Amino acid sequence: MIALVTDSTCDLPADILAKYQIEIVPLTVHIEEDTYYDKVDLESEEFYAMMESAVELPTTSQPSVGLFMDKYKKLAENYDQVISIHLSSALSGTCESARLAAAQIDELEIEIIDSKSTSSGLGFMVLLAAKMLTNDKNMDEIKETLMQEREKLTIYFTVNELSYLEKGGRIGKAQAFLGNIFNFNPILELSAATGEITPKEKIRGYKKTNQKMVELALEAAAGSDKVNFAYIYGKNSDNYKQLKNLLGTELQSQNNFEYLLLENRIGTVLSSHTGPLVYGIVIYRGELLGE
Amino acid sequence: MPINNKEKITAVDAEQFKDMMFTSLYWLKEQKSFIDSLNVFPVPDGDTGTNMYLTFKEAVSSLEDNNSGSVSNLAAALAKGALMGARGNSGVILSQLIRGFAQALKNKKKMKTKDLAKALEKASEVAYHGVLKPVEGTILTVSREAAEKATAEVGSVKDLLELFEITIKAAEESLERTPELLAVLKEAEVVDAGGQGYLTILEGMLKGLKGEKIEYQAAAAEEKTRKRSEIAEDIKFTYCTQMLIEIDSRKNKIDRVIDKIRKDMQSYGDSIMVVGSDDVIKIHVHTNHPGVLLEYGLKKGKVFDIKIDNMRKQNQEKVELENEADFDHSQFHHSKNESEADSKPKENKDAAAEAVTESESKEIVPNAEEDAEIVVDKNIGIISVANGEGVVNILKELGVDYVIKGGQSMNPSTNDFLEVVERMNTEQIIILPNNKNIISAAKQVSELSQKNIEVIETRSIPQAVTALMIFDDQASPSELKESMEAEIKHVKTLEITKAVKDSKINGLEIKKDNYIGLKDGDILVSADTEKETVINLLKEVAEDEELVTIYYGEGITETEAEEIRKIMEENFDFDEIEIYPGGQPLYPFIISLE
Repeated sequence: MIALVTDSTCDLPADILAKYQIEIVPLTVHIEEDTYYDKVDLESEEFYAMMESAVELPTTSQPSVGLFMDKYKKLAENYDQVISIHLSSALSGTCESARLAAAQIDELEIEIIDSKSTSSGLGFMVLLAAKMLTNDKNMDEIKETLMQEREKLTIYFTVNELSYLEKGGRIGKAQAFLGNIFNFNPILELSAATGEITPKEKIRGYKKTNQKMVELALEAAAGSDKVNFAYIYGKNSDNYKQLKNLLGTELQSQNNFEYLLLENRIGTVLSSHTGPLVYGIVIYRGELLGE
Repeated sequence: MPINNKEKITAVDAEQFKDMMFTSLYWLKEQKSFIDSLNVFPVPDGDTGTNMYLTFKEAVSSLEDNNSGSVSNLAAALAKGALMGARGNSGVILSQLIRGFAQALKNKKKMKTKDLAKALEKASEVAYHGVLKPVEGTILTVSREAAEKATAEVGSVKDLLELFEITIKAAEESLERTPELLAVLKEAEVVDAGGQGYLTILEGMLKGLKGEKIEYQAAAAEEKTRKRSEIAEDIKFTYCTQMLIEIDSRKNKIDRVIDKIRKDMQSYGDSIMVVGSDDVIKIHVHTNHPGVLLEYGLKKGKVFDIKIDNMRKQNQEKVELENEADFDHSQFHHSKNESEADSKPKENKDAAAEAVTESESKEIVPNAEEDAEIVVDKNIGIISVANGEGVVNILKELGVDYVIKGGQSMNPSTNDFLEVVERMNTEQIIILPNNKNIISAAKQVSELSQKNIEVIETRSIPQAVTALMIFDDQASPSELKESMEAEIKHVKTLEITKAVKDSKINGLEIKKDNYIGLKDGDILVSADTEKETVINLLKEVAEDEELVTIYYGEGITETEAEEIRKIMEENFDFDEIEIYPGGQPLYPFIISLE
């Protein structure tokens, strides 16, 4: 039997997790000297309220090696193999924690896979693995498929303020976008090629930003006859709603590809690094991952 | 040596040619305020008289240390100087006129009557050629009609004086006709300012030829750039050291030698100026080790006209002497060439020295760091032009590596751009001039530099901001020019300023000190208050734009800017309105709609 493990940044809703028996290892968020497990201890709304009142920005940590070991040991009771899929190693040490834990577990065969993505990008890879498991694919087949399919992921997102990414040290090449006088909306890309956040566009005005993001998403989808999309968002803002309207209309009026469209809320750990007003589109050019 | 008016003059030698140019420069200086007043638009603009004067001054300055005995060499130096000093559209056209003038005088030791006619003709021809879309009723027309008359009459005149008089009369008549050719002139009831400038230069040349002396009065009115206290702090290097080096030009490419020396000088001190023509290079450096510098010069060639001043000492004396007046750095350089054979009329020579030192003081005074290499950590360096701390900071934040101070009423010269271009450690550079009157001076830089340079034709700060949004360091300068110039079409620039004079334009009767509202450079509305002007202007031009950005200028408070925002929110339906302190002079508000 093969167990499927991921981390809390995959942003898959509870019913899906339950349906496919997906096991979650949570990352942790620290705010005002308190520590919470992502998606376990704290709801997003509550967290945003805390973020706003807190003097210092929250910090986050990867799951400890011990946490992974506990999870794997527990799974060893019922499974003999584990596929453990996690957020990009360019953004977090989670994969590394998982690897260290796996090295200390003899009872199980554990395959750690770097999704090179996160949020619903990671979520799509987890869903893909879950589907393959229901079709009785073996570990090697699943691994091989995931390594190929992760290349077909793209995430475009915008943040209200770059300072969160900057302070969290996750900004990489988007550094070039930093400034503190002039206001513009950055469109950032989490590219599957590097697993890093890179700057894509600087745009002024949220309508133009949304328009550009939709354009980019459709460009990323072009050439594939089946495309999975997911909206990702922190706080539910008017700007985000406008994006949904825009992409929704575009998708309905095209007949280049079949599509699936999900909407997943970003957890506390990721929004600690992006700020609450983050929103974006995840594109996965691959078999539809619906029912 | 004054020349008898009755005497025939059939040829002009190098000495006389120099006199003519210096006299002409001073006549132009006398007349520049008048030429400025011919400005059609009541906006505080890059003034034609000032721009032509500054350009011509740079040109004539290059004759100062040129002892060539041939008119050909002097004219070539004049042309080079004009090209470097060109500022404003009128300055750029003047530099092209002078270039043509010099081309026709090539290999002429003296300028004879028929040479003058040819030179005038060539001047006009080159100037027309240099302008993308020549407009009649401007300096171009005046230069052409004057040249046509000169060519027609050259066979029948008795000497140069007569040819000049005929040419000048033709230029005057041509100038009088400019309002018939250009509607804006007619509406504003003026003649073309550039044409007037050209006429003035011709008149000045004739005055020089006749040996007339121009009373020099304007010095006191000239703006002084620095305060005494500032300059005292600035003296890091004690000795102002100048020398001329004669280079064997058969063995060396003069431009390369100049570049090399300029680079080498960086380690000796600051306020570096290295200029050259033919086979003589002039070095000016502020240093603490003048002796080392002289040794350096000896390695390059024959050193002469050495001058070393202790600036600290001079400054001290200066401070003691002048309690009231602003400090003028050019004073340091004033005494030179005093003992030179007194062949020029005295006033003119002093005036000439003053012209040179004035331009030098501007060029030399900059801080040490302004001579240093500009380190760009991208493939493509970006140069822009702006005035006002807020605006400058925004441009820098958006990726501009060097902002040249300037704008509407201060048009940087080609040389100002060239210096920055050469100091950048990158081979690919784009320039955003942010003003219609600065574009052509910037464009001339690519002729003078080996680097790959493109001028993105931005005419306002908002256009620069929009262009910078899509900057891509991986693209080539020419790709950027294409994409950026396409992008700036999507932004409207509104400017609010005060009319500098009464005028009639676009059917509006504008009184001095009224507020006027411009859209992309066109005056569309006029009103008594800033707010009224903003509302009226927006009513005319606002369509379905979503984002408004307000840059408020010098003297405007944040509260006042917020009031403008409130008015916009109440009267219009924009999605977002952003406010930034721009600090720009003369324009209380610059507003972009996109």
